[in-house]
Amino acid sequence: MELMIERDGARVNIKPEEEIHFDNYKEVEAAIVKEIEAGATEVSLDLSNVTTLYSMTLGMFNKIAAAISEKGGKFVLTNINSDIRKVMKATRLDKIITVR
Amino acid sequence: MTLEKKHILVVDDSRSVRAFFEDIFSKKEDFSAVFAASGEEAVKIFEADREDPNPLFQFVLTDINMPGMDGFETIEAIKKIDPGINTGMITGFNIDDYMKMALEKGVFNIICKMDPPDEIIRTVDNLITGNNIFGIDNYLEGSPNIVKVKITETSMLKTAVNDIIEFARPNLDEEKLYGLKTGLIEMGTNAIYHAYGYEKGSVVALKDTEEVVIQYGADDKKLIVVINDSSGSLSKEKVLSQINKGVNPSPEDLIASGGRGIYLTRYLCDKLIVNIEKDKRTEVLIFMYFNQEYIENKPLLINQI
Repeated sequence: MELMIERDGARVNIKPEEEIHFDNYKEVEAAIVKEIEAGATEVSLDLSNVTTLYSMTLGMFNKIAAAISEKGGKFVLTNINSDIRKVMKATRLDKIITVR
Repeated sequence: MTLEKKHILVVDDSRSVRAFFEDIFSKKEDFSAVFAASGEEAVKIFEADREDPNPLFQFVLTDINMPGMDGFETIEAIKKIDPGINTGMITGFNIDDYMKMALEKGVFNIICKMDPPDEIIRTVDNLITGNNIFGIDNYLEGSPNIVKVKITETSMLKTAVNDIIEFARPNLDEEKLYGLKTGLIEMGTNAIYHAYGYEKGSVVALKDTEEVVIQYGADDKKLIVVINDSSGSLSKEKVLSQINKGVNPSPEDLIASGGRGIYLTRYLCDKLIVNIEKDKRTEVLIFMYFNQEYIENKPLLINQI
């Protein structure tokens, strides 16, 4: 999967260039984990190109949010569509993960 | 030819609801229904029936929210008299509000009063006989064309889902298509990864003994997709527990990295039925109605034989 990564000090913005699916979400996870291990304390995942989120991806978000929170950092989702917002609300993940 | 009648006891405090059920069951030659206006009355009627040398009732269908004994208490009292009796619940309220109680009391089927009458009858019939719960043919009217796809590797799931979405597109709006797509991926990946113990997210080629089959078709009112696996690794308790975790999540459930697929599918699709033949097969049926909207009042339908 192609990911656009922009770094600004300890802040990182990651933008998948295609849908996050059940067979590629781990690539997104690996890229985020790599940034956290390299010292990123605020990771934003830009979902402009993502129309649908599945439970496996939601589980991955939870793992990432917990990992970065342990280091005093923050995981943020940006540019989510209304369908994804609905799923975040239904699963109450909007209470756990910051959405901008 | 005389049909063997199925004798049921229906409990509801509302006169109009009893009249509604009287109407729909009287149109079915193979059903005979007796009505009680309260849980207390139902227990008396049932007790007398079981004292008879030739007891009749094969099924008790009760409303949940009633003055005096509620539906859960009624079922509990009825089961004390005859633990083997088949029972079901029905409500016009949001079934999610009763999910925790259903889990505690081991109630796996709650029918929605707003369901189409023919589907209420079908559900009751299935709960009484246990017959015909498996198979898309049993849920579609007429003889529609059924498409069958055998999934042998993960990439085939995406293709099948895209084909189903295109099949559904003329009859469903974008919101329902989104729900359907999500539900199909959730239940399809469940069938591949969880049923056969593969690592989530991996590229999988199923073995010859591992079968995942998707069937879909539509009648005038609805589209149904059935996802079948040959493991039967789920149990009705597990399915209900997963749904309840989505409806009533604990702080641990909120931060869990898995277990939301069934809840999310039920939430986004119009109706979800899970049929389990333990250690043999699991069948998940996803219903999407063309005109009818189920927003909050979705039935709970989990069957295990």
